[in-house]
Amino acid sequence: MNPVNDENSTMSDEQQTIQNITDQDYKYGFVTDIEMDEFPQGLNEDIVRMISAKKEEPEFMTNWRLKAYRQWRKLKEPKWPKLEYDEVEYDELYYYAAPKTKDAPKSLDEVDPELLETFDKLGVPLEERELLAGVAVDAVIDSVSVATTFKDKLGELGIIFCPISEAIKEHPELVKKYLGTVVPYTDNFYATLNSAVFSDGSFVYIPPGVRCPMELSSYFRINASKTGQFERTLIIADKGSYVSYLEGCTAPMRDENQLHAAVVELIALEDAEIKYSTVQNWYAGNKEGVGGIFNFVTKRGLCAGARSKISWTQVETGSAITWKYPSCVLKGDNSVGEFYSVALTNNYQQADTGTKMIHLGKNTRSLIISKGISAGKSNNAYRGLVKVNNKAENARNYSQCDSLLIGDQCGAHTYPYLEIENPTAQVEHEATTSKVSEDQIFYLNQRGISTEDAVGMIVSGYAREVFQQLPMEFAVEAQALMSVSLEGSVG
Amino acid sequence: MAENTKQLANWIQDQLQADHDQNFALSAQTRAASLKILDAGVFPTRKDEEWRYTPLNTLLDQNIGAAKSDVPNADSIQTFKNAVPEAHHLVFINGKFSESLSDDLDSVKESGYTVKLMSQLTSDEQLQAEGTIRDAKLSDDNIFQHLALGLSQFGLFLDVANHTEVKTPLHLLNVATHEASTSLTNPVNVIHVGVNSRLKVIEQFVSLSDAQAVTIPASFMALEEGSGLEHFKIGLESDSTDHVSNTSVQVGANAHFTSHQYLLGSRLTRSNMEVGFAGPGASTTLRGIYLGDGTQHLDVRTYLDHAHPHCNSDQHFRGILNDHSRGVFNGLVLVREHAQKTDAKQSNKNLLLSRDARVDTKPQLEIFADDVKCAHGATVGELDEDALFYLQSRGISKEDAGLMLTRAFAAEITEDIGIEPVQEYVEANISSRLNELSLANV
Amino acid sequence: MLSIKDLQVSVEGKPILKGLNLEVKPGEIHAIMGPNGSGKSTLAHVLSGREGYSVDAGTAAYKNLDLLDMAPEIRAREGMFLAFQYPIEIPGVNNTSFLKKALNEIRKHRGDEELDAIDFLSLIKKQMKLVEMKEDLLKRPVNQGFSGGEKKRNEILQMAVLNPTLAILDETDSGLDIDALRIVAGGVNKLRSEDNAFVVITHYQRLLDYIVPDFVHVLSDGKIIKSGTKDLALELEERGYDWLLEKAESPS
Repeated sequence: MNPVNDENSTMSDEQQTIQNITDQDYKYGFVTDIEMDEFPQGLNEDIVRMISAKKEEPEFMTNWRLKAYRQWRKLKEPKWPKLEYDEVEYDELYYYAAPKTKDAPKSLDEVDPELLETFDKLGVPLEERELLAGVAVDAVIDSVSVATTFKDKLGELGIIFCPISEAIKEHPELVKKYLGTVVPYTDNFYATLNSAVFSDGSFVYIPPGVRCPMELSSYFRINASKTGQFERTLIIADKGSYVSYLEGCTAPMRDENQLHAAVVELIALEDAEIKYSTVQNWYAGNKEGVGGIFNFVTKRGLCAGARSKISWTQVETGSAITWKYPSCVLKGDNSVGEFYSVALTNNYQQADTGTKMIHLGKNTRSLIISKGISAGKSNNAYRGLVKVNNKAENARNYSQCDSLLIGDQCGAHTYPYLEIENPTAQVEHEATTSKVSEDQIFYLNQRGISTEDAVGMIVSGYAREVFQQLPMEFAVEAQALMSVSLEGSVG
Repeated sequence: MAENTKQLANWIQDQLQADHDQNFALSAQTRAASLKILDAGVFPTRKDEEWRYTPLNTLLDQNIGAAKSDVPNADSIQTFKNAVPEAHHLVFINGKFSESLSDDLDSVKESGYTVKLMSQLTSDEQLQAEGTIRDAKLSDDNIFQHLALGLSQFGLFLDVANHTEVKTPLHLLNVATHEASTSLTNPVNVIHVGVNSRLKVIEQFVSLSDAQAVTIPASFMALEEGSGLEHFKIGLESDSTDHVSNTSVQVGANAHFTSHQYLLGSRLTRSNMEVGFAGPGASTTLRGIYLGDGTQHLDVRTYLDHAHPHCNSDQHFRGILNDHSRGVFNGLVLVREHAQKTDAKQSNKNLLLSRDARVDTKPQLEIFADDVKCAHGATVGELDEDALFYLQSRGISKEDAGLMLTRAFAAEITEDIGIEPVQEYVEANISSRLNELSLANV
Repeated sequence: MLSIKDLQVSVEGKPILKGLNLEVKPGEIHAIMGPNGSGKSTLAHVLSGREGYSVDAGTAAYKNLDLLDMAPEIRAREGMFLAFQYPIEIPGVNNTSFLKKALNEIRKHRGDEELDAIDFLSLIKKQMKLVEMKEDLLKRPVNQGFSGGEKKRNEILQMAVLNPTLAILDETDSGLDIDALRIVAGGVNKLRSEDNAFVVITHYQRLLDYIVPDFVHVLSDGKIIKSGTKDLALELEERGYDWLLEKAESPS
């Protein structure tokens, strides 16, 4: 029973409205009934070998995976985040699940129509002519990429945009050179697990001097039950190139917790720029906190070359548990790292998210804008590290980490770590906490705007700096998503 | 006992064995829990989140010698007494109360004001003092606090009755004198301020010449409704001294606790202050400066527990780090559910004056109530170049300009001290420390 | 249009309005004056539906609807507008998009078609001239970083755009210099018509030099103790409130 119901008698109209808003349903919660190819439950060296064999990988990959697997067996799940959850039974998961097809589809015409329909329902039409102009999509369901659009057009510019499984076969030299260089297989419990068992994900390579003419986008979906999803994304922007990349995520509603442990590695060479945006809307569990995705993700970008720039933008509204810290290693002189985040938690969701900005090169700059929104009985923590190495002359960082609380049952936490070893650094961190005030709601009411809309407007206004970083069409989607995710939250 | 070959652990074991023929500050009953924790002998490492930036190797390796009992002559400590001319002075040599160097305890007493050594408490007073300690919600993890609770032979009990304003500040002067071996001092002090009462306490930690010392004090303070306590801590110990202090404060409804900490000396200082609000309308002001040179390591931890509505906290700490020194600020503000209308401010600013100085700062908020105002900020930087240039263009040397700006940076904290001679004394010590610094990088 | 009968309102058990009567007809401007603490702002808040006030007795009918039973946004959509004494700041919410949303909610409610961005912009630009407001204020978040005068002008701009049937101005003159006062009053005067009505709440007579009321009411201790024409306001200006208060207290 929803504990809030006990208080119905004393609930004001405003609380009721908020309740109503927050009671809306997760609209991506359907399950697609497709025949699946699944490996046996559990994890051992054989499963790792089977995944590698299934993907027809070269030996270096199989060995890399095995090294990662052996390392993972030695590691323990981290306990430091401000998260509480039942332990994941790693040996009861399925580590490979894929829609059954005879061969990989050569074109969209060969993709199972049921799958295309799934992505249609999700608002990710894969048919190229229907696509939003200028967005190429790689769609990943459970463990494999099912379709990548606009490949040919991009190919003309020398841009490689394909499933990583394909890149391992077609472009082993690039994969071998860069895979694991930013997130080594020893990095952390989840990344190490991912290194052993990842089955698919996206691969992007932008050749020198090329400005990618369209948004590249991955769409991740977990469909199968009891599976873990472990995608791996690798993006390389060669000298002087530019790419903007967006990922979106959804999953069906199930009352079990599902594991998602992805790794994203970005490499920006001299003068290159990568803009990586995420709209994460994995199933968050129901109002009592049953079910939902455990989202343990390692995302890191390396500004390898001088004057390179990596910018992370994330809108995190889904998942029962979010653990992710998209980070930038600012190695190149004059390189720039940015992190813009909106994390919204409602009901029993928990998020521990933030970033790390590691300043190694001279004149490196970083910016952190984090907007946490806590509602319901959720807990939302910002955890971030700004580290200025002894050799990093004239580093600059500015961090602004704000929390908005909706209701008095939730928690908002800020854990910034500033480690400064160079006197020429200028580092500044600020954080504030605010609430959606009754005065603001009344003011908007008095102008004819409903409480529901008023809360949506106030929250969007609060998160605006971050939305502005998103590509236009996704900014609109993200705002809409916020309102839906806020259902039942004000009181 | 855990496997631990560290000197300090050995010393503790020796004390635990020798236990029975010594006089301890606290009752056996109160000590029992602490002794268990000491026997387990688990010291924190840098894997413990709260000790992430502060290694304890040197401290744990100190070879503790037998306590020396000879008392220095009065002249040698007069300069420290001058810090607070209009105060009652109580002097402790290597932890032990010195009757000859202190003001007469009877003369210190005012009506409604009790100042007593722990060893001289009546059983009622002991009950009260130990009650204050128990109210502090001790944590098993804090072995240093238990080192004082379990093994301390010395301590002081200050009790101000209800509706009493103690006019004369109390100056507690802790002097370390050991030179050939290291002294260990672990006093337990309890301060209780009654309803609507007022008290000012200035605690000073100093060394004679190059005395070697490990100082591990534990203080417990309780402020009853509507009362006020101003506490000042001035650390001027030699660079052969390691200092790990724990202060636990309970602030009652509408009471106000003020703390100033000036950490200017020692090799290693870890100052942990936990302030809990025990009723609505309670408030606290925390101020501090850590000024490091050489290889000094200065670590300030604060933990503020907003457990009641309408409580305010205002923290401002500044670090000045020169040479190879390291500064740490680790502050947490916890706002519990129902602690509505909390107003919590937390600010930490740091000045790095040399290539090899380092600062780690972690200003944290944990908030479980929505109608609150919480803000924190932290900055790290060097002296403002425009300001330096401006002063130079007026004919001031770069070095003097750097000194002026650094002093000004510190003065924004010291100007709140509120007791003029203490402010002058602290500022003079900061200035003389700064003058010693080779501000080569300025 | 607005008919208040024996309205009694308390806040946290303390009676504020103690039986207030007021009739407002289309085309009229009513001024409500009174000393501090007489209940002026309470009246404005109760009429616009602010929470925290308990109506203990009496009725308020607006366009023959039971006003007190309506949610604040419905009152607004029915054409009631409150110019706030202290306009609220809403960080990040763009002034223009807020106003467009409000206008379209009201239009929807009336069954009018919603305005598109272009029509809306031309409307708002026209109305901005009315209050001599700088255009960059439109791009900023609602009331954030506005000066006191700018906030009040923003209120009048909103009124001009939303075009209410009944506007309540709650001490709109407080904190305004004479130029701003002239502009704000000018806005009101241009908006007045035979179909709408204004209730102007003010402490000082000064505003009434610019907005000439048809009726002046003196509110004291939760009741209207005297009503008259604009001459009453002038008399108050000269003699203060005391003579009226004394009169009210003495048994008649």
